[in-house]
Amino acid sequence: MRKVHLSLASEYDNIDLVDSVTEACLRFAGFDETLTEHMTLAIREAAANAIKHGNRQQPEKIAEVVFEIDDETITVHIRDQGEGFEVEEVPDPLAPENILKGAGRGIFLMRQLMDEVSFAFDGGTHVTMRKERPVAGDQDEAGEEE
Amino acid sequence: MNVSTRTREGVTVVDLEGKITIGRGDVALRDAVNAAIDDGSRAVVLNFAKVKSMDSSGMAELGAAYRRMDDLGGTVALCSVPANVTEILRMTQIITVFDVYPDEDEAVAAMSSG
Repeated sequence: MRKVHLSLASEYDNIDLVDSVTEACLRFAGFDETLTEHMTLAIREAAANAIKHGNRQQPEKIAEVVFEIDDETITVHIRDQGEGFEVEEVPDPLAPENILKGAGRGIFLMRQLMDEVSFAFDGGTHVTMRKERPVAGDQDEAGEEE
Repeated sequence: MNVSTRTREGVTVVDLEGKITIGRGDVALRDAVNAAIDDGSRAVVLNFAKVKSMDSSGMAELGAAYRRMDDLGGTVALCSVPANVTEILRMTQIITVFDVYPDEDEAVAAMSSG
């Protein structure tokens, strides 16, 4: 298994760094451009939540992003040092009354764009996201269809 | 993220370039729409032609821009939205509240005649 570990001060500027490392990891894992864009957004949303809502932009608090790449999947862990939250209480961003509001859209995107997303709370929020790596032949065939 | 604003036929056109994302891009979008409102504009077209990506913070500002202008009886529309951004805006359904035009000329023509 390949493993990449980022330990970030909780500043917005570091989210672009997460994007760059994410794109490198996904390219290494064989994801195509579209999937890379989708997954980069999902991981970005989790990192932004960790920095904004979890660590409340306190630079001394650390947000961790860990990529684990094995033969079949990529797993991404995002941890903060915040107080956690109730996942069930996050608003549904697709409810008509919420369409123009902000809350819940980041978690919604994570769930739409990754295969699995789970939340745990252990001295902070720990988000785990997983996506199956593409089989090389699948991407070649997809490319031919386009 | 770069933002510039101009006026065509009474319509404020906001050219957006780069990433509309948390921390900078979302703030730039908010500031541009607020400045247009403060200048008295009630018809704003956000030109997405050079937008590379957008995250949920950018979408939140998009929704806030719509609400602020709607409260004043004005309109915010989108034009030239790249396919990758359209896909995300459709996924979250926020695009459904906006008038979306394929290009700036059509947007300005529709909004200046309205």
